[in-house]
Amino acid sequence: METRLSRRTLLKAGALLAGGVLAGCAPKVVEVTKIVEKPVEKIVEKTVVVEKEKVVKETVVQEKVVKETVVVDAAAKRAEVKGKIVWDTFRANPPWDKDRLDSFKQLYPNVEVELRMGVADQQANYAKWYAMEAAGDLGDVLQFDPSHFHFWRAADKNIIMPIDDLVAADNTDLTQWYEQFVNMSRYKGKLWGLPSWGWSGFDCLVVNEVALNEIGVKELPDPQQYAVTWDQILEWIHKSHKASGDKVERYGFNWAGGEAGFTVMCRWFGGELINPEGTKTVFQDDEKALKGLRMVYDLVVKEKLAPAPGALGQGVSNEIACAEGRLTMYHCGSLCAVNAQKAVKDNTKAKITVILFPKREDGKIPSQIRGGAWQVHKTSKYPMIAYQFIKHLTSKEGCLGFNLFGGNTALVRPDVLPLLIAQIPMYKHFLNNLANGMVIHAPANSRGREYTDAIAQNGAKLMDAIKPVPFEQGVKEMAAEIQKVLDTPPA
Amino acid sequence: MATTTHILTAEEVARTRAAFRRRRAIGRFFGYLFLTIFGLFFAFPLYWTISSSLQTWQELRSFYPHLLPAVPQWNNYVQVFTYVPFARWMLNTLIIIAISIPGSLITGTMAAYAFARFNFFGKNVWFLVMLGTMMIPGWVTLIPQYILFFKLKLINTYVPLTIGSWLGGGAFTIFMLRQFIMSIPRELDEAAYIDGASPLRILAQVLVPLMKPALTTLAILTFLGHWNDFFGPFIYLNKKDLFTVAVGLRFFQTMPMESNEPKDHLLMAAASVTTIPVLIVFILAQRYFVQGVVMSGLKL
Amino acid sequence: MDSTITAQIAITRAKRRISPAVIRENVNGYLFLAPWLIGFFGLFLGPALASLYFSFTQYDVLSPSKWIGVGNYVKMFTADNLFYTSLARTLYFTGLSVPLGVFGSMVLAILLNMKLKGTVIYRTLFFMPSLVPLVSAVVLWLWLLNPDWGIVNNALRYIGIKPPAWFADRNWALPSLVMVGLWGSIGGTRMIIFLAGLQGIPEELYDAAAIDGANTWNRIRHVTIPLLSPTIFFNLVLAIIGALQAFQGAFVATEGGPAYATWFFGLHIYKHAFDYWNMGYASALAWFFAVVIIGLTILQQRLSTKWVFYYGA
Repeated sequence: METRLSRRTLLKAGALLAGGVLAGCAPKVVEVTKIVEKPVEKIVEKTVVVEKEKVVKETVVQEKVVKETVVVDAAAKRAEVKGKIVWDTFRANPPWDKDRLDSFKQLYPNVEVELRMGVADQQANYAKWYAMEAAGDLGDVLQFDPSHFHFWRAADKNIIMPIDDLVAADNTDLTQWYEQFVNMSRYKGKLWGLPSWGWSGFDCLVVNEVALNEIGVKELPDPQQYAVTWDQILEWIHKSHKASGDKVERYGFNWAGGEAGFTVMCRWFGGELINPEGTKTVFQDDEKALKGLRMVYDLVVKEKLAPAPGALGQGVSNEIACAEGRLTMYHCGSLCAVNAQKAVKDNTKAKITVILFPKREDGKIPSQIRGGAWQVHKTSKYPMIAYQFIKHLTSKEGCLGFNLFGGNTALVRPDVLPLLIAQIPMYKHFLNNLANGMVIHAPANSRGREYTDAIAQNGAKLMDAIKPVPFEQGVKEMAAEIQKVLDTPPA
Repeated sequence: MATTTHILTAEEVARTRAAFRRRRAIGRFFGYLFLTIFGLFFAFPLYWTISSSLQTWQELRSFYPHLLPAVPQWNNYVQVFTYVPFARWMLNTLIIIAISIPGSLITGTMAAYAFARFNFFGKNVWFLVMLGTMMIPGWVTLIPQYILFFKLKLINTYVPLTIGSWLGGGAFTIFMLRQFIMSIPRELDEAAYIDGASPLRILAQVLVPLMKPALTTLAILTFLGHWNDFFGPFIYLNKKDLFTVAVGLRFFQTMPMESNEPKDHLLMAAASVTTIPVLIVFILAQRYFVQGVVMSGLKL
Repeated sequence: MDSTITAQIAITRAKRRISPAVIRENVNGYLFLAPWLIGFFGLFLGPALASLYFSFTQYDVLSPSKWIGVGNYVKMFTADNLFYTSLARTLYFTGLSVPLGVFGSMVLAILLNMKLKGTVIYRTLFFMPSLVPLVSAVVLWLWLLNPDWGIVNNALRYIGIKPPAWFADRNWALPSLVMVGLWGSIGGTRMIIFLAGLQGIPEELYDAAAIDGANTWNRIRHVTIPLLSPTIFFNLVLAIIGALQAFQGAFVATEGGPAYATWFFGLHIYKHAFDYWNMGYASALAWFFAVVIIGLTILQQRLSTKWVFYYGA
């Protein structure tokens, strides 16, 4: 009981400290006088007359730039802005929601922002939003996340609007976010939103270092050196797997299914799951993609080095198994590494670190950048206000808060990462991947949801250790099913 | 030869009685055994929910579960009520239920009465249509219904959630009550009719008193249905203040904690809080199940 | 003379056609049915017809619908392999859970009705699973049935049985859901309804049977079950409808997997309606299913005349 209290107090202190840091970083937003340089005159002229190796006349008229100081009371200008927007978000992030609303109110005192918070998990909320859109009731600030494949459909169906004009009018510097995450919201040559949450996705193995110590591995190199080889990984998996007959004391490995997991598996050795245009499955004929799948197949189906899938819930997730020393390593990403670290209660059993996947022959890093975005409703009455609001949500302060007390993983801004790393050192391993990870390939017909299901269900069959199917057959069926989805007429 | 009737001697009577008692005792024993084993089996998850609600999150995240908390964390319940407006949500749900139960019982009984006792034109067709409403998966009528309520400006109110109760209470209600009424002998109706009672009086004064077990059951089911209903309130309610318990529970599930700590123990506490009122209602309503049906005046 | 007789016959005929009794029956019937009728026309019929219309269109809720005639229905039967898969899964699930569930609830209700001591406690214990929110129950069962580390498998291994992998095994996932479903429903509303039905059987009948020399088993066979038959019929119809439409458990526990093992028809409809946004196709699936369910119910209704005994009808 006492340990629990003091840990809580520590975390509370940490949150307060973060708040203090935030307050220190936040510009004084109440009164800002802006100094505008206005060039009045600019004359440049230089005439040189040369006559046969003899400079005759050199006339230089100086450049005259007159600086005029114009005082613009930004706060007053903002107070002139009037309007009302509705913010529909799919997940409640209570202290952060309020923080953003309050701070935005200070910036724009005459703008009303109504928050309609989502209730359940994301998928159920999308259902509600579509119903609201059908009725004409959807709000101004929206969240149709690319990584959930709702983004492309929302763009095609005119639910959200391109924000290029707003960006230009506001002169927003798009480099304040990692390019990868901004690019997630690019489609048909336009930009449709600003990054909300994001991580470098499924780009590493979350590892229990204690288990590796037991098999003689002294210390792992710095993950950002990408020094660990596949051969070493396989060797460690095999050596650290402890089983006696039917009873397994520690599993060497666990794989990640689903769309992201399979995409990265295909990418390990230089292949792809589907082509960048999103029209065809390519993995079934690509030896490089198959190499990754076959490796997992051998580990999971043939040698049975992985625990049974579908074992979610209290006490038996990957994180907890790893933290308890019952799983050496599993395929996941930065998000999971942090959760696994939190789950460790006994340092003699587990110490969590990561192994980033080795770079491929072509120098790329096997990963799949994952993220969400804030968008503006197509028929919003106050698009500029909505845009200012989403900028506010994903500003430096907004993003930092989103991470620290909004319950999200939003590693989308280079300027926020150092502050986050101070709180959560694990994130420093992913700096390179955030800037240089690989992007998502979305189905061209916007049928991302069917695509995800087809991969998850058929992939589970391929990697089924209990009722195995031959590798070639599993791959063929999976490719056929996914291609069927890609061939469906557009949504 | 005709069968002779064997007159039992006193000894045979005693032996038969003893055998009968023995058989009954054995039967009783197995009955108890069976019920107890099954009872524990059924009760375990609820026990587990409550036990988990009194543990710390570290205890819950253990590899091997703790059947009992080391120290009961009553504070978990306090936290649930302070982190989210759980009390408000419970009150909201009770309001919805208080509106719905009378509606279901009254209009459901009326419709069941119609189907059970009257021979009106098209009765069988209407009955099948009524049953049919149960058979169309709700998903596809959801969007048109949502739009309908939106046009009536009834989104974010309790009307979409309660109006169904006052318009028949649903096919399940009507069907069940109809079956029940049909098992009550018509002679009772007719007797009252001869005495000059109107159909309404027959319903209210003859049938309804006999339907107490069914009506109580229905009240409990309506309670439970609304208490645990997620999708309806989810779709129609937008303001946190109006949420019901089921929606609130999910909201709480997806809501991050300020300290980013896991909140499994709090979720279990919330789930327990969700469960206990219904349990109490159920226990209190038990006595209405015990009443047998006394058929005075019935000749066999 | 003839005209008087003709007139009299006419009057008699007229009276018979619209006798006051008939009028009374109709007026009363419709009067008591009125609240439900209003609800039906106001809240149900419109949306239902709308969804029927949508089943003949391609409709994604966000753009206007496009008429495609019977395209969706053709697609169902020819171009959607998950259609037959999901039907098979649902029928399998229904075939397993309905008989076990209805029979089990009935047995429990009869046991509880025997006036053993502590009935109130038992009744409450049995009802408990219905009180636990589905999501919590499923999470708990996933944990209990974890193939490697769950209590159930550890216990089975201890007594020497090689346990199946439950939700992780393609062949056991569906039966596991049946098991969880039974656990959740066998002592629940169905059992309570059986109890209510049992309460409605007059004591005098049992006494009469006992006097005639019937033992417990015969009393059950000849008094309880026939008089309980309306309740059995009711529960059977509802159990079948419920099992055919069930999918919440599958949704939470296995998400339709592994490898479509628990991809129920209800889940298939939900997926097309609210995940893939093929609302037109989902409507077609729903209406097809409604017809199937209605057909089955009519069949049961017809058969019921053979075995259901209405004491008061």
